[in-house]
Amino acid sequence: MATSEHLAFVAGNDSVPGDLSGDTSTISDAVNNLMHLSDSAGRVIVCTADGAVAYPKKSGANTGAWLPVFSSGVFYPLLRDDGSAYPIRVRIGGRAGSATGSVFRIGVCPVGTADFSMSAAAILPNVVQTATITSTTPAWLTTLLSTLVTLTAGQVGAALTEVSTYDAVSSTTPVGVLVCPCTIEVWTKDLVPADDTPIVSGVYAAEYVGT
Amino acid sequence: MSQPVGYKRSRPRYEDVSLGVAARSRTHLPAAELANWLRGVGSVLVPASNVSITIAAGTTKTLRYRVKPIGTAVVRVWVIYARASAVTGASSLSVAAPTGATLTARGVVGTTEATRAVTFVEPLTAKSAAEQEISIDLRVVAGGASVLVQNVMCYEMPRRELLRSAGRGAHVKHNRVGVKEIVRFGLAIINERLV
Repeated sequence: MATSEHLAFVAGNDSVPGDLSGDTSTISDAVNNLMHLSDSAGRVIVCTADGAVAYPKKSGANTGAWLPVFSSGVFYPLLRDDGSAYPIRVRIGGRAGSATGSVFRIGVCPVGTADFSMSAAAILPNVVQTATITSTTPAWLTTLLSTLVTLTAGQVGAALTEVSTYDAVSSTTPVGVLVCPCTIEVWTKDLVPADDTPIVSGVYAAEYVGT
Repeated sequence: MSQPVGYKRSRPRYEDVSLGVAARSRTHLPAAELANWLRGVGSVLVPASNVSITIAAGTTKTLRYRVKPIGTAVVRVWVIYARASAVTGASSLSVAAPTGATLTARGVVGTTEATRAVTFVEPLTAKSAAEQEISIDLRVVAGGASVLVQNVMCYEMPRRELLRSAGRGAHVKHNRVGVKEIVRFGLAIINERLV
């Protein structure tokens, strides 16, 4: 749900007010606009093209277990005022290993937690799963049981870490900045272990516009 | 004077803004913090997107992207999702950004290993909000196995603090933050992000 009062940018703050004070409506509009900009600050994290490339499941014996297919690499999700992450809209493109069927999961995982989150028996809040896919033709999968994943404040808090960066151009003095390193993960599982491997052909993940 | 950039967004309270009553510093303060967060959190310039190119040993591939930064970033992070054609033993991918800069070697795993993304940090020599080209060189070491580059992502590293003296950060001390700054910085953000 959006946090801005008017759910949109309010025009009218196009001149800088005086130094000392502003009237209530000016303050209200300024706050509304900042909130609206923050609500809509979501970013596209992953956008791979459907059908252009296949990500074969990591080789090895098909055991019917959840196995990793795709990882976005580390990024830092936007965090809300309550400490939880902005929700992330997710989509998967793919096909089953055989007509017997395969299932897919996509999730946002703090670094080091993907193995637990993506292969857990239960579907965790930061993971969504498809229904059984039987088509062997690559396509965007529309049977995701949900399309939003997020991280709770507890998950974010446990993963917060300082990483080194610079705070000025051409600086040689590193500083630490607090972030929650995460990856977008896609895992698959064959319903019949002897099947061919399922294929993921597209991944999309974007921070949700709104909070 | 430096003003901190929060690691999470703040939330001004609308109930503190009442008709006929002066807005208090506890309204101004989170608004200023929110303005700084918006300006310092960094944007994703290139989402993790499919390039799917195979780079032969001893050759270089340059990727060029057209982007619109937000103007406060001083460090970019490139994330390259790549895999060597060798079963084991992998290969080495040298990375430079922007194109022509000094190459830095990164290890790339083989076909039977779980892929690890290659990360490369690019410190910037100037801040800019102008639409521009950013680029990266990817070179496979001579004599090594060829490398399939599947995805490339680039984002701006969050700032720890912004310089108020440079007109970049809003004041976040209770007794100094003002409507003028909140509105001014709000407008600057709108100009940077929406224009």
